[in-house]
Amino acid sequence: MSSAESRYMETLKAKTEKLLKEVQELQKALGMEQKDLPEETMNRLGEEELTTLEHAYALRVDGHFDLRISEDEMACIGDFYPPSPGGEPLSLEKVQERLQALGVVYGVNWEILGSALFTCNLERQEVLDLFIARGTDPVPEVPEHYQLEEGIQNCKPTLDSDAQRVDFRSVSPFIIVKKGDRLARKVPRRSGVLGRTIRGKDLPFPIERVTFLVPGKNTEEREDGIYAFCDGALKIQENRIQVEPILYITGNVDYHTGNIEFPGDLVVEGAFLDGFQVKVRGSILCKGTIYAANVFCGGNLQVYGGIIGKGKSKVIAEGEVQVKFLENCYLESKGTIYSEAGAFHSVVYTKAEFRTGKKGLVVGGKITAQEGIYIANIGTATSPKTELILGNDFQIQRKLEWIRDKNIDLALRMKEVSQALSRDPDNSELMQTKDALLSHIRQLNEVSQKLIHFLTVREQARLCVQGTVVPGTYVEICNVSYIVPRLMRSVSFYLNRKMGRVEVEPYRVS
Amino acid sequence: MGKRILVIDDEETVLDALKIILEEMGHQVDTTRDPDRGERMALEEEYDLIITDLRMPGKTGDQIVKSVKAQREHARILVITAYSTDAIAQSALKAGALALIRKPFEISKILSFLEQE
Repeated sequence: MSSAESRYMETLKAKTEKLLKEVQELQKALGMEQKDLPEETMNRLGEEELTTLEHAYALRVDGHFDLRISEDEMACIGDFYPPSPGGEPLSLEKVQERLQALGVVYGVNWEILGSALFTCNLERQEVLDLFIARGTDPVPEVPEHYQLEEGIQNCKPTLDSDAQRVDFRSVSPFIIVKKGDRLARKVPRRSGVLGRTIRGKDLPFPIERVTFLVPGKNTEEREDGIYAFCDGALKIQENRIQVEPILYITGNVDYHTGNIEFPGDLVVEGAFLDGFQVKVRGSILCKGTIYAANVFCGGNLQVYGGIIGKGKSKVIAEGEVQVKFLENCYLESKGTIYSEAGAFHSVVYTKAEFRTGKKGLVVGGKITAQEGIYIANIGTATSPKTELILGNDFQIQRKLEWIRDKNIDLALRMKEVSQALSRDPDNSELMQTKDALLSHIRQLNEVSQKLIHFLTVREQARLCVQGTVVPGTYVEICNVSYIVPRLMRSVSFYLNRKMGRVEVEPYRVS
Repeated sequence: MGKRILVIDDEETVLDALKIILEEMGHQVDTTRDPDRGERMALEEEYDLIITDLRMPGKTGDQIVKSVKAQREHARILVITAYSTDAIAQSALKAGALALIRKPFEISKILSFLEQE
């Protein structure tokens, strides 16, 4: 033990001894224990406490309540306190009197009030902040107006915040409508209803503020609403609801516009950027360049710049196509394709003609044109070879290729079945399978034999080259192949059907 | 009316598929994976259409075309190739092949030439 601790213990011991001594002295001064108390004193024990209890019982509290009215006189709120034992219970009459005194004449909920009194009186519980009367709000008057259809309102772009990945390209700010779509429905006038305070005062009704839409260009007003008069983009300008049959985009097709699907024509001042998709039922005018975007055009396609596909772009047009140049892209059209500067490593299909400008060059890739190909120059000394296919309908060809692929699958399956049958010749299930496979092959063959009559549509199709064509260029006219053996200038390639070969003659303008 | 067709290709899948498809159409189809045997068959038998692969072990398609055309001027031969701008393809065409067929085969061309006669 340290010296400090030792000193502390001594001090404590001394203090304790002193205290015990004082207690002993006090006991001596009292001179007696409880049993020694006089009898009279003993008899009066507890009487004082009982008297206090009796007095407390005599101070009972009645049930009481407090009512207050809101500033706008639309609600009366009450606090209800239970009576103490022996106290007067709360009574409905008293509350009624108080309500009357406060001028509450309307909107009292007697059921709630009765329940509160019951709780207070029998369960001895306080009921606080209870709405016992409520006023009625006025119902605003709604004037007759047009309201945008819910479907159209919901067209506005929204993003799912929970989504793990959001493709912002799929978010478009345009609202596309079709002819005959109801754009806005007529909301009839609705009368207003007066409100009332709990003190019985009538409250005037307001008139609801609504947007007064009016029918505009390319819309039609009918009994029940405003309808689109043509396909197009919905536009609301100064409350005028209208349909634009041509969609104008002042910039690029990018994250501002999202992917575009439009039933009319499309004009784009800028470019179609990588990865976006444009599907238009009408024609497209692109004043910039189409990059690695996928485009479907139901009409004509005009591109002031080129199509720079980066090996990813797929452009399909139902009508004619006019572009500055084609590079590393896939282009398909039912109409004539005119590419001023030519095509570089591109795959092109057309049911009409493919043409370039006077200095146009086609290098690499494949050009398939049913009606004819007119090019200034084909290939360069070191470039990959170019393929030019003429005379056939490429869509029929595709169908035939699809049938071929299916037929190959069926044929291979049939070979397996035949082998199995050779091991188990009486297996009826295998025989049935073989018959079914044969039947499918037969059906596909019938279709292909019909289609073959529509494959070659233009035996007169010509490949005309104003400038030069390099050796190695592959030419095919109505299935007959030809490979250019040497550098040729200003030549036309045509099919000599009688001889069954492709022949060459000096270039002539057809 | 059914035609006699000879298919020479070292790839069994192509042979099997073409045989089944064309026979089902009513044609008589002989096939071989051996180019030398194919060449002999083409020279010994009368075929309405001969289809040969371009690149086979031991012999190329253009050699078969040259050999057959030398003895049978009117033989109609189609050549199967992966690359239409192949130098051997060019040689086959020069030797008198009617057309090149892209691998595995272009049924449109085959049917088209069968229809023509």
